[in-house]
Amino acid sequence: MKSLYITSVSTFSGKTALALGLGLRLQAAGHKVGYVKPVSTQPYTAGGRVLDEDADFVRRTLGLETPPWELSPIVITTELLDEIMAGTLERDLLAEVKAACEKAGEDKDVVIMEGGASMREGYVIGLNTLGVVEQLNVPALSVVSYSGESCVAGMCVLDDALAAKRRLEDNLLGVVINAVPREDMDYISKRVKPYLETQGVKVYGVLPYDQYLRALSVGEVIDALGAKVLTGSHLRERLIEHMSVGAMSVEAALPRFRRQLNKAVFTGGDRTDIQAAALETSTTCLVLTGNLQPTSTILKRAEELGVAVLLVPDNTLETVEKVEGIFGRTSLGQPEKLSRFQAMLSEHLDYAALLKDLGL
Amino acid sequence: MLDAFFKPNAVAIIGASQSPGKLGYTVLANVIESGFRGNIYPINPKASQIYNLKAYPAVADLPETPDLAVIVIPYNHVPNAMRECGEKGIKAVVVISAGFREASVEGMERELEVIEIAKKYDIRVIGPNCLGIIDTYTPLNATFAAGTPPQGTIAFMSQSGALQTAILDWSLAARDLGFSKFVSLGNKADVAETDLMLAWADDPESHVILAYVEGVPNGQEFIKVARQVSRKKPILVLKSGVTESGSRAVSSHTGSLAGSEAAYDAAFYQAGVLRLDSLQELFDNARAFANQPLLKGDRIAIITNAGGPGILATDMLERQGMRLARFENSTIQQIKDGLPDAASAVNPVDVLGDALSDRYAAALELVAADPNVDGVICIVTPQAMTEIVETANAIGKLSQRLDKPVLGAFMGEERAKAGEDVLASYGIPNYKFPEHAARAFAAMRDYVEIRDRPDPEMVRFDVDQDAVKKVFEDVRAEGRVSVGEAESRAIAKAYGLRLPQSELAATAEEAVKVADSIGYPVVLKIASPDILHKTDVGGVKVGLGNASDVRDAFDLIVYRAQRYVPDARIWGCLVQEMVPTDGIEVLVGMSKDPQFGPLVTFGLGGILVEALKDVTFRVAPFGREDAEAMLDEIRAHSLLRGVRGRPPADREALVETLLRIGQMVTDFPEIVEMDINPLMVYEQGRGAVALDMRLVLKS
Repeated sequence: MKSLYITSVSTFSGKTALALGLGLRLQAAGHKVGYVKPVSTQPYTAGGRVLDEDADFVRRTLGLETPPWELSPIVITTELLDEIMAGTLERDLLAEVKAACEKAGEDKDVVIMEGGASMREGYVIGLNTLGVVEQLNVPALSVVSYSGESCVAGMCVLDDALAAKRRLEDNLLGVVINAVPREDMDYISKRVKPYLETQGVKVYGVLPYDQYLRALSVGEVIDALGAKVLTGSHLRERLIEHMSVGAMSVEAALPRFRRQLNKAVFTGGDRTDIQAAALETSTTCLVLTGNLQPTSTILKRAEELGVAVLLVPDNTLETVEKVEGIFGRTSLGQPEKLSRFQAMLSEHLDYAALLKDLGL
Repeated sequence: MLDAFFKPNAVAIIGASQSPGKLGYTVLANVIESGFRGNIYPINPKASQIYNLKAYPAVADLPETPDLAVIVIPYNHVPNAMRECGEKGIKAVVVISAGFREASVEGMERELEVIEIAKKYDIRVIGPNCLGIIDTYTPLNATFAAGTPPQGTIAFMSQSGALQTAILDWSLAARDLGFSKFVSLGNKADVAETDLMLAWADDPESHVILAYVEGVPNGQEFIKVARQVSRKKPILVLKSGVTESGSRAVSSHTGSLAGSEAAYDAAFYQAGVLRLDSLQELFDNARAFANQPLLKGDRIAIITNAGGPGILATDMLERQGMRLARFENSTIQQIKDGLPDAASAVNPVDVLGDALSDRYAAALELVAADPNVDGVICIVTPQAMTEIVETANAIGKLSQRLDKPVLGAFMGEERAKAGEDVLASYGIPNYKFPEHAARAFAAMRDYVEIRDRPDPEMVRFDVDQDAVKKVFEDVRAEGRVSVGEAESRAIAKAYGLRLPQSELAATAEEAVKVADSIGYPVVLKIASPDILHKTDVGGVKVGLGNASDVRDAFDLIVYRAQRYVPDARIWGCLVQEMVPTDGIEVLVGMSKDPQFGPLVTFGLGGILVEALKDVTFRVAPFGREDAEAMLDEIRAHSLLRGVRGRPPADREALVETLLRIGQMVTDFPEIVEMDINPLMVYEQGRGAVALDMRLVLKS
């Protein structure tokens, strides 16, 4: 049984997506795949147990029969932290992790472990990335997410990749650089990647940034806002790639609306002009604020065009803030997103090299 | 056209009621009281007789097929009534009932159903959600308004029915406001402004067409039809919702996206309609067109019994670009002979405060006969001895013999009223304020100019549409809407626009050859897919004046690139025309208007655009005359003509660029935005070069 520990240096960098993508690919190649997320920081409750959202999603997509709580043995909650700080914790967390990993690997060819979102995550419970990797002695793959905005293009990628190497040393199998803007793809592939390899960091893939993968579904927005659906209740799966606020004049709004594809437009229910302008352009969803009903013409037109119209009681600012909070943190929950990510991996990830290095 | 509405043989009123207070009662009462001479058929399954007329349970039971049916029943029953009208063969239906598109989604669906049925049976529909229609000559009043307006020559259509009730009430008191047709368009499910314009273009009873408009859904059609009709009679339009808040109100009223103010201005100009800013101006001007002959020129004579008002009118005339007439010497002499010494015999003619009607008559006779006078304003202030009624009579009688327009400016209210009534009986409109009379003349002058404006010469250039199609397909295939720089280049080339020349050279010798063919000076830029920021690696050299400079620059640039980016692929250098900076930066752009389509902008370009907003607009397609006019409409037009010793700009190159862009955005409706900024225009003969061009396609 082989194992691969997937870690990263920042949150929402694409670990779960990569775990899922790899898992599906391995399954397609005839391997029996197990999955475990030793430490979870995204608890939610289902069936009376605290579970990890991502882990459950991976479980369902890979069609694993393992019960969800076994996939995320340790879920960090306030109660758990309190017990640790009070010194009253009587569990051997490392042993639990080991047990869960063994369990996940029963009858499997390979187990994918989804690790911490940073090198330091988990220190407090004695289960930081480094520690877990060392204790379990598994090869690690680090996802390095491109964030070129704040520093010289490529610098963050280099720092993150080199830091991962320094920490994980020989346990680091290599890295996957994710979310690289199209215009920097060449630079990262042709300059950064070769350099990293001279430094002993293997780069298995350079994945381009894709707004579509960050898209929210209409359903996610409905749930986040508790919105009332005025029309388009069958459009929950439709994806939103951009958000636009319609508070300005139509003349100012139109040029912006025209350049944003598959967007959600947030505006007052009384702003018929902005709503009409949004419907003239590529819009997935209208979010009408202030509990003001739109006119029948708008509703009818939206229905014809297949645009969801949602109504919320909050003002526009509050509403946008709520949705911004979940933007970019979405999972690959929609089938179109998953298949698009799979296609991206096929094109940009060196599967052969990765499998070979894993010994598969 | 549409005669079935205005001159029907008989009228069926579906939903006629015997209970006063109900709409179905008022409509029937109005039809009867207006004196309609054809048969009137109340349709009501619950009554056998209404208003001494035999009532029928259904349209099917009528002994004949009336041309017109008026429907006044709850909205959900209207589709059925429409079907019955269709089966009976009725071809014109006015749907007064409300509750449709304006009310709810369900209502909207019923409205679509009505349209469907109308199409199936070939029925024309006015409404729904309207006041009804009036023809004062037939006569027929099929509205639920309180009363019938006086007969006159104004044909009025309105998107707001309630506004019409107010105007009707006003016309009942005003005396000089008479209508030929009075139509409330309501939701415009079928019959819209353009249909009525076409119908009224040749209607001898209508001299002027007035429209209150909130939105023009089919803008291009509106321009075409209005242009055709405005050659025959003036069209005066009041468009509401011109401010940001106003257009928002229109949007919520109509549920559609309002066109931009700039688009309306350009479109109305191109359509040849006179656009007024207020209801008051609309009717002030309409009264002048209604009964007075048109102006033949812009020279106006003023006769007044007080200096101040005469000067006020003069100021307004000049402000509106009109001229104060200069009389023949003989006219001045004759006026002098007939007036007291203190009077002024030059324009404005001051007949003095003690003038009685005879002085006005004498002065009017003389100035109207002067060949330098195209129209006359008679100002009368109510002084102690002023003979208001007699003066009005004298002016009125004289005006009957004139083929020049005369407007009254009997000022005041209490005493002036009597004069106003007399003038009205002669078809002379009166203005309480002399400036308004001046403004009405300006509107007449505008109309005559519009009427005589030749049709624009439409030009088509030989272009490569396939090349553009190909670019757009590629852009779309990548799921983009913005067209990149290189792609824009291909498009510009396909449409014959000039860009800086540019060619790749792989060696220094090739670079020299290219530079020789382009002409010096040139610019050299490193050409490498691996170098994005060319200037960072010293990859750009400008102002290379000869072959040896080009050779040296080539070697230097390539050497630097190899040194800074060792493994970069280097294709050579781009040799580009060095665009001279001694031109004027202008911009040509286009933004798609929701109602009128491609709205092309021309103005000062570069960094001045935002600050000065010195731009003008046309709806494409437009002709050569429009393109030429655009150059003169910007405030900085003198810059193009050459100021302070600068040579004039190459106007022909600008005109051609505008026309080519107009053609491009018409050929490709999927372009929603386009900008060339700056377009560098040089002196005459040196053309214009597009330095930067961007396009956005419909998403």
